[in-house]
Amino acid sequence: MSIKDLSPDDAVLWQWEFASLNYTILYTWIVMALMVLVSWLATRRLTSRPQMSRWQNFLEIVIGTINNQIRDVSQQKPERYLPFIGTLFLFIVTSNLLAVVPGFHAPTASLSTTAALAILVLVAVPVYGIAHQGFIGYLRLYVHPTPLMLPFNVIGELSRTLALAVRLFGNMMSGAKIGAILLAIAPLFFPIVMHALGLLTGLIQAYIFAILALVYIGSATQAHDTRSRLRAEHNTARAEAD
Amino acid sequence: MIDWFTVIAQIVNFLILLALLKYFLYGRILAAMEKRQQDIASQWDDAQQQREQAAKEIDDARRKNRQLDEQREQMLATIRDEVETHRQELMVKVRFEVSEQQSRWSEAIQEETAAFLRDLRRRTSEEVGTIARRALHDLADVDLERQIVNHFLSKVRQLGEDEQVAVVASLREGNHAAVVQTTGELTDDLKHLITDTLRRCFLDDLEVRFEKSDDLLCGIALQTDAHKLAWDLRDYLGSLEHEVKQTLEEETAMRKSQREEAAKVGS
Repeated sequence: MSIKDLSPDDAVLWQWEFASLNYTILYTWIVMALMVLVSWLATRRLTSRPQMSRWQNFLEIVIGTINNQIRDVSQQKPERYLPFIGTLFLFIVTSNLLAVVPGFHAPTASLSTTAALAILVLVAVPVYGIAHQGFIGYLRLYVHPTPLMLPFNVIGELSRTLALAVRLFGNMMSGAKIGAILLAIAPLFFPIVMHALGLLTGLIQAYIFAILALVYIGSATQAHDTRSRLRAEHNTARAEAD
Repeated sequence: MIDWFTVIAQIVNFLILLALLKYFLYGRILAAMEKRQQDIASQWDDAQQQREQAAKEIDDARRKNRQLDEQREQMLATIRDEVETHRQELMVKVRFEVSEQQSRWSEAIQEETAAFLRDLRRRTSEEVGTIARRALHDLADVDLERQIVNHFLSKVRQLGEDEQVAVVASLREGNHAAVVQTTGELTDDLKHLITDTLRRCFLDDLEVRFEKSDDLLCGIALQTDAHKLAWDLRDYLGSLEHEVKQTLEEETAMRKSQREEAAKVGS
């Protein structure tokens, strides 16, 4: 892979027909293997006592923080959203942080990866919405407040998916490329600063991606909750009036 | 720019990763956290129950302490009452015993005093009689018994008319018999003198009988059924006996007051 290659997709290791094994898929597997390995090692000997291993403590803090964020943002029980949102955040943040390792190509710097994650969010929103309030109830959101809004709602759904994909790809790809360019121009000091900045950017981008996904999913489920709550309050007021 | 095979592969990869993390990470970590929270809640509940139990036991202990204190106070009050009652009983008993002792002592003193006075009277009479007899004999060559008889007979002769009538009446009621009591045996001439004098004064056929009497100290007495005419040295010793008795009583009273003062100081 050279600096001219904009995406790690272009670095193909193996090709058969339309199927190809490129850096994106390879490093995704590495990230996956690393995450699963750490999870397995840390959760092998879990204890419910206050004395626990550092890894368990670290993972409990991470999972607890994600859980709290989901609860705060969605105002709902976090258990349903934790696997999807948590995996999104952990995969993106692991990929982004590993970008500082020399020779590692972050899969999130590939538009194919970010597009895949955005498509997953695109699909997850109606899946959670339908699971939460039914098919009709979910579709009604698109004609809310009037049927005239239907095309705008559909366009909004697609555009935010595109924005998700391009935002993450742009940030990660630019960070990687800038680092490589600076390494060629000023190889001694400046790339370290840019890598440190890249770590911060990667963390923030992972947070933004996960939070936005959560907000989209939450908006598809919370409308139903709000209507239910309003209906319940209305019924209570009528009962009291009677 | 977008490799759709890679997109599909990444979607599959993500779903696989999601499943693996759900199994290896989220489920286990959340279960461990949940279990810890339950343990903490359980321990908290246990601690709360123990605290409530401890508070209840403290209340029980305080109530029991109060009951014990009250019982102790009641027992002490009962014991105090019993002791006070017992003390009062003992005091009454002691006072009674002391009073009895005092009365016994007083009786003993009185008896001793009386015995002393009797003895004093007897000895004094004997001594006075002896002294008088010797003095009369030495100074006037006169016999005491004769002087007593003469003095007695002169008093008989000097009786008033009413008294004489009463004595006569008494002698008549007693079969014309009279008894003359003396301290010692009288000589025959004195007996004749007395008999003659009494017959002249009272009745001509009066029968006079002489006998010794321990009641007289040193004297002579005429005894009828209703009257008694007597002269005895005892009459002269009455003032002396009175003086001795008064001195003894004053001495006894002084010793008694000294004893009471000593008892007050000792208590």
